Amino acid sequence: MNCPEVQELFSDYLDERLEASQVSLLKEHLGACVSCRRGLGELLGTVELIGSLDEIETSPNFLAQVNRKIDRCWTPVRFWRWAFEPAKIKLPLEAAALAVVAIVAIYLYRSSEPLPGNLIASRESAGIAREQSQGAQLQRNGETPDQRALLAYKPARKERPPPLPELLAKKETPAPLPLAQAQRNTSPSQIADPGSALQQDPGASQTRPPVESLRKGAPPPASEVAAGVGALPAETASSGASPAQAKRESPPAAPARAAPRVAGVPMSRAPALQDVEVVSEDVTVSQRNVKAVLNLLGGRVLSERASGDDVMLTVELPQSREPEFRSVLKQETGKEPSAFYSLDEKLGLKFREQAQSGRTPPASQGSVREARRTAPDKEEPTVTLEIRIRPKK
Amino acid sequence: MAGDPDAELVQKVRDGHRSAFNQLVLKYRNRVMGIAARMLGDRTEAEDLAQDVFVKIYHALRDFHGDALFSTWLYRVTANSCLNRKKKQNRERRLVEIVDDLEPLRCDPSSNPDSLLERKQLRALLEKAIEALPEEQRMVLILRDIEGLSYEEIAECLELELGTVRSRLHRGRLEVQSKIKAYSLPEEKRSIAS
Repeated sequence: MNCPEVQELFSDYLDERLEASQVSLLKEHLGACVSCRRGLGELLGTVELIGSLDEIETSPNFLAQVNRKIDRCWTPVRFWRWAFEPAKIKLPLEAAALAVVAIVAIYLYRSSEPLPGNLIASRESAGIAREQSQGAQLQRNGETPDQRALLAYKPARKERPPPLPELLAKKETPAPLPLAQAQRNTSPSQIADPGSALQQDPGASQTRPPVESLRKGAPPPASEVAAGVGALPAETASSGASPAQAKRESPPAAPARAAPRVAGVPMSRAPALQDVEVVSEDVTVSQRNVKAVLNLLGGRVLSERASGDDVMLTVELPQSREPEFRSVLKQETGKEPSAFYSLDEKLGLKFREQAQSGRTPPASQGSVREARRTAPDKEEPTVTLEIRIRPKK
Repeated sequence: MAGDPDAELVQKVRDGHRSAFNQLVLKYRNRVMGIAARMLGDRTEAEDLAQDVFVKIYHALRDFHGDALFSTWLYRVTANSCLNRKKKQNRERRLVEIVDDLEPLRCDPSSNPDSLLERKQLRALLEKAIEALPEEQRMVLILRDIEGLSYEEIAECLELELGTVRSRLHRGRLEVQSKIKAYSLPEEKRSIAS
C-alpha cells in the first residue's frame, strides 16, 4: 500500500471499521512511513478535539417556548381532536348542545313574529309600502273607524300657495294615475267618498313639498315657513296625504331625517329627535294647542323650555299618530280661530275647549272616552319629536 | 424499533401526555441545539430552529411508528430542518472568509501552539473550521464526531449510503485538520501512531 491509499483508511481505522487484514497492512506501512504516522496522529488529534467541543446549551426557557409554540399552533388535526375526541363523550354532548341551540333559535324566531316594531322594521327594510304595514298594525291594534279617519285626515291647504321648488319639481311629476290606482293611493275616508278623493288629490300633489330639496338639506320654501311649517321630513310634510301615500310617493332612497323611525323594540323611542318648527303669531296659544292635540293623540310632553322668544317642546307620541300630529302642526299659527280647529270637526271631539283650557277634558265627556278607547296600544313604538315654536316676525 | 430507550416516553406522548414530551425535549434539546448551531452558525437562529424541530416532532409523533430509533428520527428531522433553513437563507459562507479569519493567528510571532493558543481560542478556531465545511460534510462530521452516531445511524438519518457517509466524514476531517494543523495539535497526539 502506498501513502495515499493508507491515508484514505485513516478515518476507518480511527473508527475501527477496518477488517483485520487491512489493519495489519496499515500498521505495517505506518511502521515504515513517518509522514503517514504523523498524519494519522494529527487526524486523531483533530477528531478528539472535535469531540471535545463544548455542548451548546439552549436558553433556560427553551422548554416553555416549545410548549408555547405547540399551543399556538392550531392545525386542523388538532381542532378535530379538540372538538370530537373522544367521540363517545363529545359527540353526544355536542349533539345535545346543537339541539338546544336550535330549539332556542326557533322559539326566539316565533316569539319575535308578532312584535309590531320588528314587523314594521322588516317590512320597511324590505321596501314594502308603508300602507301595508300600517294597515296590518291597525288590524292588530283594533283601531276604530274614528282612528282610521284620523289617519286619513287631510288639512285644507287651498290657502297655501305651492312653494317655488314644488313648481319646479312639477315638471318631473309622473302622469296622473289611473282611477283604480288613484283610489288605492287614497286613504280609507277618501275611498268612502271617491268624489272628495278625486278632488283632493290634485291639490295634494300641488302642495307636496319638494322632496329632493329636503333630501339635499335645502332650506324649506319661504311660503312653508310663513305657513308655520318648517323643515319637516318629506313624507310628512307632503301635502297632507295619508302616510301610506307619502310612503308610496316618496322615492326609495329616503333622506336621513325621513329614515324609518320605528324602533325594533316595542315602546322604544326613535333614535334621533326630529325637529318641527312652528311659526306662530302667539307662542302661548300655539303651545297650548300643541299640548292639547298631543294629549288627544295619546302623547305626552317630555320637556318644555324657553329659548329666547322661542319655546322648545320635546314630546313623545305613538308612532301611528305622528302623521296627523304633524298635519295639525302645519296649520298651527297661533290664531284663534284657525284651521287648526278643523281637527275638532273631523274627530267630533271637544277639542276647542281642551285647546283653550290647556288641560285634559274630564273623563265624562264622550269625546274623551272615545279618544281613550281608541288610544294606541302601550306596546306600540313611540317617536320623540322636538318642536320649536317661534314667534312670527 | 426494539431496544429504543425512548420507546416508553414516545408511547406516553402518543397517549397525550405532555409531560413525557417535555422529558424528551429536556433530554435532546442540547443535541438538537448543537447540530443547529453548528449548521447555521447563529445561536439565536439555531434555538429557534431547535424549538421548531420539537414542535414538528410533537405533531408528527402520532405518525411515528417506531421503525427507527426515536433519536435517529429526531436527528433526521433536525438535519433536514437545518439543510432547508440553510437553503432558504442562502447564506453559505465561503471558505476564503474563514481562512482570512485564521490568518492573524497564523502570523503570531510566538509559534508554539500549546502556549500560543489557549484552549478556548482553539475551540473557536475549530468551530470556524467546521462551519467552513460544505454542508454535506459538516452534517456527517457533526453527527459522527460530536453527536457520536454510528455510520449506520448517519446513513439512516441522512438517507445516504454507508460509503457516502464514510467518504464525506473522511473528507471533512481532513479539511478541518488542514485548518488547525499548524497550531492546535498536542505533541502527544502526533506521536500516537508510533
